[in-house]
Amino acid sequence: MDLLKVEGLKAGYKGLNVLWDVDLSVKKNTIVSIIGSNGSGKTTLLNAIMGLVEISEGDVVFKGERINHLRTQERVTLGLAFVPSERELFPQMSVQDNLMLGAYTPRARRSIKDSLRQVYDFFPVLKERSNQLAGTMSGGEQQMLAIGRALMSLPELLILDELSTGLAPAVTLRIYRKLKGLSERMTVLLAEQNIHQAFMVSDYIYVLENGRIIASGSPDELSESSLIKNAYLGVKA
Amino acid sequence: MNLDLASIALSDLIEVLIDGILFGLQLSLLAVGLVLIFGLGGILNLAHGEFVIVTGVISAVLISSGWNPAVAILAGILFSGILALALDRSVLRPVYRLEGEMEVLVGLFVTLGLAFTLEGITSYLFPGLYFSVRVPVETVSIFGLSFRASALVSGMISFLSLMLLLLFLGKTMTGKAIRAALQNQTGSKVCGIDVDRMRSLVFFLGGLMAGLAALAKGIASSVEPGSGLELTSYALIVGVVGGVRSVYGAMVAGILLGIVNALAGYLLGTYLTLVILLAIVVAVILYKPSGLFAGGV
Ligand SMILES: Nc1ncnc2c1ncn2[C@@H]1O[C@H](COP(=O)(O)OP(=O)(O)OP(=O)(O)O)[C@@H](O)[C@H]1O
Ligand SMILES: [Mg+2]
Repeated sequence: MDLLKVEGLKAGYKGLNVLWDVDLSVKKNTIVSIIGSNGSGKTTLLNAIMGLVEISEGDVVFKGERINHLRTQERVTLGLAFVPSERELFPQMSVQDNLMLGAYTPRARRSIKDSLRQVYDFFPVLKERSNQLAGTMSGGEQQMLAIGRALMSLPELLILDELSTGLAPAVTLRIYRKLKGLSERMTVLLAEQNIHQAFMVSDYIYVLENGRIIASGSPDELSESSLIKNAYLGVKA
Repeated sequence: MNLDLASIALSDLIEVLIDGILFGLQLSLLAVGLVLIFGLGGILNLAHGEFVIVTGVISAVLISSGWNPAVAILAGILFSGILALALDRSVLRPVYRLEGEMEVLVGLFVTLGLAFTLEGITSYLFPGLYFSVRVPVETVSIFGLSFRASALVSGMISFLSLMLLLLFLGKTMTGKAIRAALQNQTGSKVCGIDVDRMRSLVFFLGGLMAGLAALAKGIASSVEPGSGLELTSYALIVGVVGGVRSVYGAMVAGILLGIVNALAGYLLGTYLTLVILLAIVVAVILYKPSGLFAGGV
């Protein structure tokens, strides 16, 4: 079943359209990546799915419901969670308060204690620093906090923009493994610069260029395609 | 009896200081609302002082028509909260759709218009009306110093109101959501927080705080139509000195400026106090534009 479906999406900013006729679907309990060079529109696409960028044409469908008209916080209540590339933490609040706010929706609030324990197990450094102000954490720690905050909402679909930003490769790898484990219960949509990691972790990949999907397929299918080999994997076909 | 000039001056000074703190608490109460509304709505609310007047007017009218004073005052305070909420939901709505400088400027003129309107209505309908609450005891002496009981009660009410607000913002999930929205609106939305709703709530709270300031002022002195813009000026001064997005800063700055105000009044004369406060604001803007106590809440 498609948990998320994007159909004929056109979106952008005042006076500048960025995405053209984008189709994409994310099946339940899979990990799907969007790859593409800088400025290809990955962030814009994720923001449009979250309701942070306005859609001019097309549909975003989540759990069979068209959610174009819903505001971001309503989409979160429905079960979407987002780790923005800029992290968007609350710098003058403690790590723990940042996490608690991740469980703001009524559904998540009910199991806030369990979720907090799980996130602390996931990222022990957050537990050690639970009273530190988020703004004074290192870049990598802030990234972990942003991921932890998103997990606190018990999402059905976790959307991550550039998960690896600021993180040591070993940490990224560990998080990817964990996400893979979580995908029993959760579905993940990623925008990723790091093609090799995207290929390693994803069940399905979309390639975005200049605001259009130019290829898609399983990692195996895509690594057979000469186009992708040349442009992204650094392998001569 | 042996009069010691130095000790008289000292006890005077202590009384002035305490008077300053008590007045400062009123200022804090006034400024927290202004700061919360600016932080979330992006609007410097020039009608803020009118919320004080409105509580005073409603309470005085209800009391004179036979209501129980406590109930009347409660109704007055609640009315200011609801009025603030109504402004947020009606005339200010289109202003929020503007961006950056335009929102600030249009917001200034819309709220200035509101201030004149409210000031006009209250002065026209209730000329000569004033709101004042008398405390049965005249003076209280503590450690040989005598204080006006009314000033103490007024200070107590201000202090408790501020503590309640801090507790709400610091400990409850909704309070934390308000602080979150003050710090990062995109981050808040991503957490499922309805930022518009938080903004409305902050208007309501700001109105209530201004209403409580009216009670504190009514006990210490009096509230009368026509003085709203002066109150707004005080709130602006305190807000800017404390850091215009910091609730905590507004509380500390209010007390500090209350002390400065009282000292200046005692040493130089009351006609100079507002000028001195304005000079302090200019100095803060020039040398520490983020405010003296920015950060925190
Ligand atoms: N707020 C904005 N206003 C105007 N144009 C924007 C805005 N944000 C992004 N753009 C433009 O939209 C295009 C797509 O940007 P986007 O951030 O979606 O790319 P991206 O694939 O996420 O890139 P990166 O890999 O560098 O993060 C770019 O040309 C960018 O300049
Ligand atoms: Mg991006």
